[in-house]
Parts: sequence; C-alpha cells; structure tokens
Amino acid sequence: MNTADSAALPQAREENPRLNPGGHTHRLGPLIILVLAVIALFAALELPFGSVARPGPGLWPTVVAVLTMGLAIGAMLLPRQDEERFTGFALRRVTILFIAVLMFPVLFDFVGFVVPAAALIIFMMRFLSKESWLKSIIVATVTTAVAYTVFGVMLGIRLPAFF
Amino acid sequence: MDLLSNLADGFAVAFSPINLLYVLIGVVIGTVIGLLPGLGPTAAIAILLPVTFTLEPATAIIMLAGIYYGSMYGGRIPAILLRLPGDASSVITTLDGYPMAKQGKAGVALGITGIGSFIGGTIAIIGLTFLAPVLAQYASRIGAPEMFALTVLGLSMIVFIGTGSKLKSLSLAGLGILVAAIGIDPVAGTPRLTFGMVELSAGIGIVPVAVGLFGLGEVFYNMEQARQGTQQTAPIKRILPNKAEWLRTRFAILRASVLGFFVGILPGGGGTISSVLAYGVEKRISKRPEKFGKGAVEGLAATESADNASSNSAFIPLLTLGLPPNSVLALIFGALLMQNVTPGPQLIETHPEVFFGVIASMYIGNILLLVFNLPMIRVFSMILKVPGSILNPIIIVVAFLGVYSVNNSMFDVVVAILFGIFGYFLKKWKFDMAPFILAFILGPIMESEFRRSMTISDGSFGIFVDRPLALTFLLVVAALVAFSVFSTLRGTSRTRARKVRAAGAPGTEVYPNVSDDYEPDAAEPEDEPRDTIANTPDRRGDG
Repeated sequence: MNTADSAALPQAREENPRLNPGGHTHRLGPLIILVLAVIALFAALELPFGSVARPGPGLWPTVVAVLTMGLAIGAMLLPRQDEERFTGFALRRVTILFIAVLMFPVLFDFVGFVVPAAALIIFMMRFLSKESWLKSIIVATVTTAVAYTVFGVMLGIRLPAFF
Repeated sequence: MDLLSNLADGFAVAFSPINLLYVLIGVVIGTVIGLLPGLGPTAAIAILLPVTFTLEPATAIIMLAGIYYGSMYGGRIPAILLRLPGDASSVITTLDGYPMAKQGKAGVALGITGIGSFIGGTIAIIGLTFLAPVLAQYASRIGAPEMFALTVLGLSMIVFIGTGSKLKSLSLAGLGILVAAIGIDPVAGTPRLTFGMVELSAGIGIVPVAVGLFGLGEVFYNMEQARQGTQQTAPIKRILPNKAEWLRTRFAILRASVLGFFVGILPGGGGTISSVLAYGVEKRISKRPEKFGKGAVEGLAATESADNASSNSAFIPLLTLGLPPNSVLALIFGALLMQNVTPGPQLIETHPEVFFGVIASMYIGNILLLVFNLPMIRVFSMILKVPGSILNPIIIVVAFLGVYSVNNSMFDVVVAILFGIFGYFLKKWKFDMAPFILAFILGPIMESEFRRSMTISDGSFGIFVDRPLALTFLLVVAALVAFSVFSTLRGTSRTRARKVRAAGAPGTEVYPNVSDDYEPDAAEPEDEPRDTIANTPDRRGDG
C-alpha cells in the first residue's frame, strides 16, 4: 500500500461506515473508567459504611462507585460511534511526548526549573516538530526567562531556578 | 434604592485602578489564549486560574470574568478566519462566519461578532443585575433536599445537553464524583480513597484536574500530528458593518440576546445550546433562509449575541444558588472556593463586594471587549500565524508553572500530566468532558447535601418526595432519563441510516451548506465541528 492510499483510507472509512472494521478499541475508555471505579469501590469498602440515617465516610463512594461501574459496563457494550482510531505513528509520537513531559517534574526535584523547562521546549520543537536548532534554542531561552521572571520574581512564587 | 446603591458600591470596587488593570489583562490574555486553535474558554480559564489565586477574591473573580469574555471572543477569531472552532459553541460561529471570511468580509464578521456579543452581554447583565438579588433572597430558603435534587438536575442537564453518548458521559460523571471524594471526609474528618498517599490526603485540586483535562490534553491532541504549519488566514479589511448589514442584524441581535439570557439561566444552558437555538430561530423567521450557512450576517450576529447573553446569565445560578451551570463556571466556582468565598444564597450577604463587584465588572469587561478588542482584531489575527510547533511547548511550560504555583507542589504537576494524558484519550474516544469537571465540582456539594438530608429525615428517602420543589427537580431528572432512554431505543433501529447520512453530509437536515466547502485535510480540530454538527439535528429534533 502506498502512502496516498493509507492517507485516503481513514477519510473513506469516515464517510462510509460500512468500511469500518469492527475493532474494540472504542471500549477501552469505558473499561478504564470501570477499572478505576472498581479500585475506588475496594478502597471505599474498607471505610466505615455507617447507616443510611447516619452515613459514614464509606457510603457515598461505595454507592457512586457501584453506579459508575454499572454505567461503564453499559457504555462498554455500545457499538462504535465516532471514536477516533489510533495510528501507530500517532501513538508513538504521543508516547514520546508523554515521557518527555513527565521528565519535567522528575528533573525539577534535582536541577530546578530552568534546565527541565528549556530542555522540554527544545525537545518538543527540535525533535517532535522538526524546527531548527537555532529557533528551538531561542524560543526555549526566551520562554524560560520570561516565565521565570513572571512567576518566580513578579508573582513571588517559590521557584528554584537551578537547585 | 438598595439595589442601586449596592451596585454603585460594586462599581466602586470594579473601578478601582487595580481591578480595572486586572480586568484589562484578563480580557487581553483571555483573547490570546482563546484564539489559539483548539483552546477554548475552559482551557483559557484553567491555564490562567492559578495566576488569580494570588489576588484578592473580588479582583480574582473580576479578572476571571475578563478572561472568560476575552477567551470567548478570542475563540471566534480562528472560527471565522480559519474554520477552527476552539469550543462547541463557536462551531455555530463557523457556519456563517467562515463563508463571510471567504467572501472577503472577515473584518465585518469579526466586527459584528464583537458588537453582537457586546449587546447580548449587556442585555443579559442588566437582566442579571435585577434578577440575581431577588433570586438570591428566594434561594436562601432552599434546604438540603432541594439542593441535592438541584445538583442532580444540574449534572443531568449537562450530560443530556452535551455531545456524545449519554452512557459514556454519565460514567465519566460518576468517575468525576469519585475523584472529588478523594481526601478528607467532610463530616467524619478521616482520610478516604487516599491509598495511603500523604499527598492525596488534601484531595485533588480543581487546578491540576482542569489544566490537565482541558489544557494539556488539548495540546497533546494537537501535537499528535507532526504537521503544524502556519495557517493562511483571510485578509481583514473593513471591520464595522455598513448600514445595510446593521439594519439586517439589529433585530436578530435583540431577539437572540433575550433568548440567550433566558436559556443561560437553565443548568447547562450557557453557550452552545443558546447559539443553536438562536440560529434556528433566525433561520426560521428569515426572509432569505437559503443564505444561512453561506454567509448570512444576521445568522452570525444572532449566534454570537445569544452565546454571550447566555454566558453572562449563566452567572445567575452560580451567584444565587452556588450551582455552576457549565464547565467554565465550574472553574470559576472552584476559584472562589479557593479564595474562601462560597458562592450561594449567602454570598450577597457575606461578600457583597464580590457579588456586586462581579456584576459591575461584567459591564466593564463587556465594554472593554468592544472598545479594546475591535481595534486590535488585526493584531490578534497575527498571533494565529505563530505555528503550533512554537505555541504548544510554551503552553505546556506555562501550564506547569501555573499548576505548581498554587501549592508549590510538583505532585500537582504530575497529577495535571496524568489528567492531561487521560484527557487526550478521552478526546480521542469522543467523551464529552464537561460532565467530568461538573461532577468533580458538584460531587462534594451533592454528598454533603445528601448526608444532611438523610440526617434531617432520619434515613428516610421520603424527604425527597415530600418536599414539592425537590420532587419537581427529581421529576425533571426522571423525565430527562426516560426521554433519553426512549430516544436511544428508537434511535438504535435507525442508527445505520443516520450514520450514513451523518457521515455523507454533516447536518443534512438543518445546515445543508456546511459540507459544501469542507476541506478534509485542513487541520486536526476539523473533526470536532463535524461531529457536533452531525449531532445537532438529532438533539434539536429530539428536544
């Protein structure tokens, strides 16, 4: 399959639902909600339930968790509607982006604000968006300096610059 | 007159130089963030929310109101020039706004949008000025069962008015309530759902959640595609409408303003639903309905007037009942709570400076929007030329700093990132995110009112039935659910046919011209208007 075909395919699929292959990835969203609700239910069951007249801390989360589970199961059974598909390309890109973004709080504890912020901007511009090195470094420097001045100096937030 | 003297005090608050400065800053920054493709008012407020925490309560909410107006107006600019709506309500803006821009009338489209917004907003604020204090008096007599029923109603309205599958929205709302339950139990004072993590014992704040879902999630979604080149915008020439255009639009603006005002008071009524209704009304009574969707200036003006009117009157339930009717006001509600101001019937007594300061600042914000933003339209539209490859990393860093600054906590930043990742997937899976944020805000109110009701009634659920007002609210909820189930059951048999229709030509029944110049490869957010428009006829037909 050449590139023109693969580009045209999602469009064709959108326009004609009959071309839609089954697939179950659209059920993942409700599934995640279901899993989170089950986790919440187990945590809530450890709390004192109280009675309906004198509700304890556990009653509300238990009731809501059970309701949410029911709704999530219902939502999982729905047919695919307009959920977007994930291309391998997009998934790889966002995974790299998520890791890069999560590096910010990790690095912040060791080297402060300036280095992780500048590094994140340069990484996103140079490697994810293919901007030039020069442009990336300029934007990173200016943004970091302005952001530090506004938040760290003008708004007086305790923001370690380097350590 | 008591009201007028209070309002005068409110103006004194709003007119203090510092507050004027902040409302101006709010309008400008709000416009800039709002005009970034994909980022709507909710994202703008979420990202800027932390900045307001350093301010006095009155100043903070005045600035937030400015950001709200600014970002709404800002969102119109890419909707008209590029057909890139940042939120659901500006989808309707694109219907006639973009065709006008293609006909070389981009300036007039933006101008009439500003004028319509101003008139709609002002009419709504005048209505609010007189209605809100009266309602607040009445609302102070509302008890716990009524409040509980009202929160259930508010949440249901958001779910049923919103886009996408109702089951998905409801399950997401349930999750929102659960996330809000993390932290200290409001009655017993013991930690719950913290999984032994000290950082969670104070609960999860609105800021990391909102910035994550609406800010970071949106940026991640935009970054998914490698191609983020600059957009070619239509040139802006004349901005003020000429006499013919004004004559054609003036009554449309007035009608839409009044309509928007009343729709905005209802839970979930601010924004989208009012613009859809106003657009429909104008099209129906127009002598030239065939022009709608092809650049009818009155359609555009009505949409914007109704949108702004309803966004202003949406403050009424927030200020009088303490119930945010949409996700933007949910954020403002959260901001006020963090300032130790609890919006509700008592607000007018305990913080009259906030209550009337907000109302006064709304007048000022609207005027600023008109006198300041109209001449600046060309400058703002130039910001659209800055490519996403530069904007996205900047937004991320600013969002991080904002989240961090609330509690000087990197844990909050991690929470925001996790919610950003969650938000990205929710967007891919076409979840409507408004129910989550509203449930997150309303959840704790629901729980404490529920527990209070149960204590009053000694555990009898009869308390929700015996009190007529509570019963009425719950009956409306029941009617909504029944209606939704019924229309779903009826709809599934026709789903196949409708799917074909919706996919072939979005909005075949109502907006016949939308798909005419649809450019499939224009940009990523194009997906959104198509879905919303495709859904609109169903919602209107059902309602």
